[in-house]
Amino acid sequence: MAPDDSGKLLFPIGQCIGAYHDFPASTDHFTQVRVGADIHQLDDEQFAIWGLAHGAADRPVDEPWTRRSVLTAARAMGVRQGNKVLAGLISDHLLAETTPGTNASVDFARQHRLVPSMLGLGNTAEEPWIFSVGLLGMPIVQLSAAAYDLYEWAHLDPNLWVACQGAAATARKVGIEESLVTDPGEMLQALLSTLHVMLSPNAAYLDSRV
Amino acid sequence: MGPFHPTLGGPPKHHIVRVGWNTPKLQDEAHFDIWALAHGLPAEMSTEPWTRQALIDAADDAEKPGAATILDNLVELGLVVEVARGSDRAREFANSYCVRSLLMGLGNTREDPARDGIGIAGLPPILKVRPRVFEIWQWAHLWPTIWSACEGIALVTNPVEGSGAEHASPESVLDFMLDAFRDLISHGAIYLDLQTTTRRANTSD
Repeated sequence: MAPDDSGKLLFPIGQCIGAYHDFPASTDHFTQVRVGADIHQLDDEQFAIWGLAHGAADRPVDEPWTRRSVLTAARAMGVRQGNKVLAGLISDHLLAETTPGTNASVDFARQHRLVPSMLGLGNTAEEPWIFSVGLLGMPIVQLSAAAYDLYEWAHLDPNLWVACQGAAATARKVGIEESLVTDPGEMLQALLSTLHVMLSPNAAYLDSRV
Repeated sequence: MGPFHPTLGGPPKHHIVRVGWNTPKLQDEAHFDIWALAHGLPAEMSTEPWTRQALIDAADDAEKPGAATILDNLVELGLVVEVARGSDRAREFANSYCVRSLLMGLGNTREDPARDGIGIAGLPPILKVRPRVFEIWQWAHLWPTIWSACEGIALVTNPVEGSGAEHASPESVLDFMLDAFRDLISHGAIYLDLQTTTRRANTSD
């Protein structure tokens, strides 16, 4: 397994379906996560690590959210053997690591879809360059125009790389020259570098490709 | 997709809604208000069929004039659809539209194991629903159309007792789904979208 300081970001895969208690007042329970058509049953320690992989709301935007970040947070929560639990989740494809800007990150994008869980709330007269996502009357995440575009459209495509290519082609067609939105590689790198901003409040999730 | 302000300090040009690959525009706040109202009022979804007249009455109660004309415009834009349960139109509707799920599953609790919550992590559920309704939130969005979701869900749903059938019929699932949509849509747990054809993955190479 790659060393933690390799620059890889850690991402959770799947949609949270929620807790499952079988009987009234029973302490037996697990939490379900759906990836594609498969349901995974996570125990409390697995769910804690999977949840932490979404990022932390109070994390500085420019702080990379890595395996080390998650394990540090897990230790603070009292999760035992976090390293082993995390490795198991990677093996089950419920967590994935990639480094933005690499060929491997394009493969990562080809394997996954970005699916929104909240509403697009548009921009404002005060800051028309910032777009919000959240619930009606309750903005939760603020995004750049390029990230907002992918937030709104990427889930219609079979995978995230096709979405970046489609968005870049559209930008070129309307005469935009900024490479951040006309080059799918640059667009993907910028998205992945800040993706935890969407993932930490569960404004979006990564699913397997169609 | 919210209001679009093209310039600093300027008014919104319009509200944008994504429907499939298109983006019809809501020209003013009045159109946005009626479109929002068409999602339903959560408190009334279990008692009142959300029809054109119910919506116009609710708009009158909220002192929003011109609802009937605006509603015609929204139908024309493809932003509102009228469907009657059990009709041919319902089947056509189910073949043309798909479900998109929002929010996250919170599951059930020890105190209330019979209902599943949907909402935001760390907050009380926005709504709690029976397992058959939760199933729609959980699975229906994986199918390309509402009708194909009905066919898939019918295969794992028990039939009406005494019917002699091995599975529930897709038609009965569609009837159930149309009822369940009202609660799910009014709480913002799902929305309906036009069925789309995705760009082909091999264009990425």
